[in-house]
Amino acid sequence: MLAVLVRKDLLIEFRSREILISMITFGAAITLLYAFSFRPSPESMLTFAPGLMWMVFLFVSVLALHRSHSLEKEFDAFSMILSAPVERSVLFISKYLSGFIFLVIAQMVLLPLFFLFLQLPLPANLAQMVAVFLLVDLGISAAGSLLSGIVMRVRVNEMLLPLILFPMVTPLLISAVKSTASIMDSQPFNQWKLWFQLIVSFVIVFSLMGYLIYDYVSEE
Amino acid sequence: MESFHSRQSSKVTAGILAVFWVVVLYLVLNETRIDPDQQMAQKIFYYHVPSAWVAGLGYLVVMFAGVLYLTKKDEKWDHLGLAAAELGTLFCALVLITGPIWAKPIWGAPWSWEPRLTTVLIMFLIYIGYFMVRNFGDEGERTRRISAVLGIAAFFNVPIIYVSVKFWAADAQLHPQPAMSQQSPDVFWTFMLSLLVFTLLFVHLLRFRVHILKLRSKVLGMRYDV
Amino acid sequence: MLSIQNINKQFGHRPVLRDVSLEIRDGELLGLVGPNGSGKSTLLRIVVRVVSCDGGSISWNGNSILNAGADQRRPLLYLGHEPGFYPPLSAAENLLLIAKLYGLEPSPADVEKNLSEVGLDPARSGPIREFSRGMLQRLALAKTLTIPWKLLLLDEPTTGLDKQGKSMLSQLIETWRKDDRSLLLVSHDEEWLSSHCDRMVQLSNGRIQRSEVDGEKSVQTELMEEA
Repeated sequence: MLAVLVRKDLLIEFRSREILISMITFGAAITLLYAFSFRPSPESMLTFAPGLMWMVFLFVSVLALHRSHSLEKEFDAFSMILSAPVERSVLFISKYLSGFIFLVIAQMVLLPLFFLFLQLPLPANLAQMVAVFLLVDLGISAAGSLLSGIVMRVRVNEMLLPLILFPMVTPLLISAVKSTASIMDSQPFNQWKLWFQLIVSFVIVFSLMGYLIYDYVSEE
Repeated sequence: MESFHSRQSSKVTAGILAVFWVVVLYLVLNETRIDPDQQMAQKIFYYHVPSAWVAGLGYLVVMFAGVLYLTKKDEKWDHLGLAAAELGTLFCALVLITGPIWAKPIWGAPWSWEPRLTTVLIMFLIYIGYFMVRNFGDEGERTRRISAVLGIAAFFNVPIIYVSVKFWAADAQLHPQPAMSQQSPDVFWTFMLSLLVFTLLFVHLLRFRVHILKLRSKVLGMRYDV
Repeated sequence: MLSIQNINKQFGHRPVLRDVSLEIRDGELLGLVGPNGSGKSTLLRIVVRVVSCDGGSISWNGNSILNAGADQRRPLLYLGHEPGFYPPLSAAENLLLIAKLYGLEPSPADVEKNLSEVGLDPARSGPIREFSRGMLQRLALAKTLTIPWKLLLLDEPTTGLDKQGKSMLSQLIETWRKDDRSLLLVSHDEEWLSSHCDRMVQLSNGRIQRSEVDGEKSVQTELMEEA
């Protein structure tokens, strides 16, 4: 059932390409703005880069979450899914995974652009960076899927979602930025282990919460 | 439904609060020692810390009320949750106001990214979102449900928020860390009394607000009684 | 048998359903009528847990639907006011998806057959975003051929259907009657409904007003006071 739901989201996106195109173009636009707004020395840019990077990914995640839920509402497909014999917790996991996949794909395009336009050196330990990115993406997707499910049927939800999401993911953002900065600075894992642990904690807490309580937010 | 203020329990609580509020104020100004470094500015501690305590208590109540609402579906738990959220946020605001008032003469700048204060700020922002959801949702059962979920999610996020902020600005460990057990009796007992007064104030205001919400619900429901 | 007991629902402080109880026996075709805003659609959506209720219980053959896992909804199929499809997908893809959600794996040939039966061109592979309202309604009816449901909940099934479409729907209903399957039909077109249903129930201002059995009127609950 989970595979059916995730495949459905991926197939829809493959057909319409609405989510990925808007994520990538918006992300690229912000990156360009950064490049034009700040022209510090390469060392200073290295200090700012992790924060700027994760802000871009947070912004484009919000876009993806909106589009994803708009598609469900357009012909009321969401009611069809809810009325079908599909466990609500499985529905949450499917949204969680689809969101994660879209974010990873968008990052695969945006990250090279980011490094290119801001003239950043590649980190020595790419494997660590990939691991951290994947985990943080899971965290953003978990919190985002739960919170967008919450505000989905509320008025002005385009404004409400970032308003609720951004404070909630602050610890994830801080940990992501600190980890990324440490990796780009080639620090050993011991020195940034705490941030990694915080990311993992965040992912576990929000994944569990979403799995357990999505049922309560999905019905009208 | 009788008026809240004419109830025996309310009168007693209000009376105790009025008396002890004045007592605490007197003790703070006259009986407690003056800190040699911070002078009078330190005395804000008797109001700042209990405010933070009450804010935390409020959010704990929101979480429990949320769980109870989701499991029992009784509107009274939603009233409790909303009232506690309002009070928690109000006291959060007090913490955010009294903190900088103290910080300006002591640190030279009203704001620094001190972990506890930053955590309070983030919780404050999360609850602004909570109230916006309440405001923009219809007044019905779904809004109550999603508010309950938000309150639960916010609460379980607090430890992660605190740890992340604590190590994020490790240089901002400027917040005084007074060990209460090591304080002199005048400080200790005045502080405890202030804590008690604030807690009692929270309970009194909570009961009052729940009463108002119950009345409001009753009145709004009357429109449709046939 | 579907048993609905004492369902209450409020939107905001406005009661939409008040103590609604009814039963649908196996093989029965029940029509639900009432003015706009009387809560008919809401009741259907509560049965399939798209909308939550404030109190009451609903069970299918003695097993609770509201407090149980998703599997309890397997015998039920809901066709709502809105089409209930994904616009970027084709008709066949949408049908295949809903079949899979019900745990089925129909062959492409089966899907094509179902589309033809409702008068849609199976060769058409464009997104259903391009479909007219009538075509979407036909596609919704194709769902009824794809899923082996026991109770069908239909909300305004004649919306957008032309004369041919309505005739097709009437034929389908007759087939279902012969198969001994149950139907809960909602419509504000009382005449159309009464020509297809065994029994009619009127919902007005959230309450059951009257229940007709084969044309005989019998008052089941208190009549609402005239405003």
